Amino acid sequence: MIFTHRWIIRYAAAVGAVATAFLVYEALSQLVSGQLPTYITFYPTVMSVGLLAGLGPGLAATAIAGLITAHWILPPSGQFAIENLKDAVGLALFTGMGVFMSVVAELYRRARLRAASQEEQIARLDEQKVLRQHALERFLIGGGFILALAILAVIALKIHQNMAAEAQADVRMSHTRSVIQELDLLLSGLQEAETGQRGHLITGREEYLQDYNKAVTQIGSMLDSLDHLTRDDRVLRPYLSYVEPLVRDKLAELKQTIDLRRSRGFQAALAVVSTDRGKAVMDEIRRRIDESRTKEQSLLREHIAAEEIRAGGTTKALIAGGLLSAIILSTVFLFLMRENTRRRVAEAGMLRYQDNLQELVASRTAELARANEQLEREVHEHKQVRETLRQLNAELEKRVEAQTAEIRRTNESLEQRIAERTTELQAANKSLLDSRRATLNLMEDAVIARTRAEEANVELQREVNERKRAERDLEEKRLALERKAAELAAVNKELETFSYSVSHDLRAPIRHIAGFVELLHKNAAVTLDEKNKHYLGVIAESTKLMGKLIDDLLSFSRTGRMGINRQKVDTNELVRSTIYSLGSETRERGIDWAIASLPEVFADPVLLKLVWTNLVSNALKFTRRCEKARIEITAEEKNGESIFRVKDNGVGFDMKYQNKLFAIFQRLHRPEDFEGTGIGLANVQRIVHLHGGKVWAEGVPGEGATFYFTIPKQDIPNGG
Amino acid sequence: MVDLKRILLVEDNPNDVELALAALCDYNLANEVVVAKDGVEALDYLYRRNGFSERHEGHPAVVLLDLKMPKVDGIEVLRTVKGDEKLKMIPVVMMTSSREERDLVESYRLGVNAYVVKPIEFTEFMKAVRELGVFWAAINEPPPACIARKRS
Repeated sequence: MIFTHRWIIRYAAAVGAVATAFLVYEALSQLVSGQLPTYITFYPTVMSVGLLAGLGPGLAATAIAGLITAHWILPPSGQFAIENLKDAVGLALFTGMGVFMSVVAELYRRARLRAASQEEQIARLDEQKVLRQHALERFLIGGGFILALAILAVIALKIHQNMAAEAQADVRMSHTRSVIQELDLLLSGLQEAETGQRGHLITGREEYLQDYNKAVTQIGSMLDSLDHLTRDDRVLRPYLSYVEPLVRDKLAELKQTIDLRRSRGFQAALAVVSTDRGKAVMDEIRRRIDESRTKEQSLLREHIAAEEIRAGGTTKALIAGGLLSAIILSTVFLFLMRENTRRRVAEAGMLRYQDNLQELVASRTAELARANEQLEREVHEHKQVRETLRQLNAELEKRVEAQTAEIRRTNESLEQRIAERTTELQAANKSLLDSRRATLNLMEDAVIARTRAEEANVELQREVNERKRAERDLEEKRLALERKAAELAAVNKELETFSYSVSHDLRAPIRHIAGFVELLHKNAAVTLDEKNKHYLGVIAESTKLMGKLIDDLLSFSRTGRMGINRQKVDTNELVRSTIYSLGSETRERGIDWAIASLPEVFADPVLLKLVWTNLVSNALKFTRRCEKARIEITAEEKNGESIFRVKDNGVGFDMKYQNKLFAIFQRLHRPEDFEGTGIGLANVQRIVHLHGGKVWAEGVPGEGATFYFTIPKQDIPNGG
Repeated sequence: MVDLKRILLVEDNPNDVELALAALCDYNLANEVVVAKDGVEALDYLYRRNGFSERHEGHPAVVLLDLKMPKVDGIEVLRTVKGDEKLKMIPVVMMTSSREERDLVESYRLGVNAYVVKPIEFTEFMKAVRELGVFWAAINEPPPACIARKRS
């Protein structure tokens, strides 16, 4: 499993990367002539391999790089050995860092792979904040790495610089020592040459000259050597430039004395020596050499001191840099570990959240199932309720049928009665003049019967309305009932037509009687005596009354047949116009009118005018004999009704006849006292009832009468 | 010299006929009154058929038409007259006891020229009939086809 294709590629890449790093190092060394930090290419290589290929290749790269460095780069070159301690420390540091970086890189690589998958999820959730935080952490980790690497690189550079400076100082110190050595040799050479000279001078033996010559030769080479050594030394050169002529001077003096000994003998040479010039030169040389040595030694001391300072600084920098990078890398490592832990926690949280979600789905499903059951139960209950309603409907239907049958029976009996009455009426009609009274009674019966039928109709209507409100489901049944009501209305209509027709046909004979009595009176006026003329007059008057009766009856019959046409009525205006239309009587008699402000009503203006006309004309009629007639018209609003009152101070009436006041053809006064047909108040009652109001009266004989009627304020017609 | 025109009185009740003639007599308008006792007879006269095939040509100056009659009633006669191109120009006056609104409306809808309710009061009746006769037979200028007679 381990030796897969990918595995091979990763390790091969590690080896290749290290080889490339080595080649680059060599190439750069050529370019900058050997002054390159040892690990400059290997750190980034190990780091990159660790990050890209993982722990194993990282470690491999570290090992290979360490071996290459030990073998080829660090002295001694060409073998696995390390010359000095610093290089050993550097290699150890590199190896340690390599291992550490490989581990960290591996951790980072894994964290990043996991982060990639999680961030994909987070990105789906679109949590920008989390993403920003992750970006920040990644930046910190990457920055930490780069910073640590930079510090390590600086350390490496510093070490390199120190090592170079040290090497230079070594060269300098050996040079100084060589110069001092050469100077010492020069001095001893000069002493030897002098010793040889003295021996020769004193003994004159040639062997001393051999020592002398040998020393002179050595001094020459020493001078050359010094010249060579101090060619580039600006500090020592001036000192030595003084020494050399002195040495030559000394050598010349030695040679002079030796030459004098040979040519002139011991005394001559001794004389020259005795001048002490040679000794002065020698002393001068010694002094100069001592000066040079002192100078050289002080320089040497300065070098050593500077070297010590530099070595101390380097060590501090190494320790500080190492510590700093170790801290940074540890911090980065901690960051990675923390990141790792948090990711594990987040993953666990995610798993828990998924589990919760599944539980929630399960519980919601269960709830839905329960709701479904509840719904089914409700539907079942609803069905039961509907069934109950259906049964109720059936029951109501039966009841409506029963009532319809009853209405039909009532209608039939009514029709029968009408038929009977018609027959009677027709019979009575033939002998009209003789049985006028009987006819009128018959007519009254017919009208009463019709009123009753109408009242029954209103009652039925109200019942229908109540049912409509209470039992909306019974729409069809209600329609059936309405049809029945319509039939009843049709029957009623026929009855009215009949009544009208009777009244209509009554007019013709009365007109004939009136016409022919008039013609008779005109033609026979001269031949008739007063008595007969009176008879004719009575017939004419009676006929006129009969005509008025019939006209009133027609009006009464017509009332409400057209239906009532409700609208807003200005009662004040209506009463004013009524009084005006009642003619001259109202203006000439000097009546004391007391008319209050009257409320508006919602009623049929034509019918309402009839009511007012009847009531006001009655008041006028029954106050005719008063000295000072007073008529009050007032109104009040109570219990949703407008109550109107017409009060007069006329003849009044006895309250015991109160119930006869509004009945048709009923009169409380004799015709010769007050004319009238007995239809007016019946008409008033009928109109007021049609509007849903009430009418009543109060009176005291001789003191006056008060008539009341009410109109409901918001009586909106309901139903059919 | 007054032009007298023929009046067609359609009335089933003889009492009414008599009263009407009496009223017209007072103004000497009775001579040219033709009486039809019902709608059938009125139409026979207007179309010159049955008993009236021998009568002179020409239309009456006015038809005084009762509403309630046996067989063919006044409304029917009115409908026939006003529906006929030849007869529709003849003035027709409804004279009736009825104040029924539907009769009034129907009559005017069919094109009646006047509608008179007979008053019960005899003097008023006389007055009404007279005024009708005078207006339609003497004052009103009839359409060209109506018969005219010079009264001496």
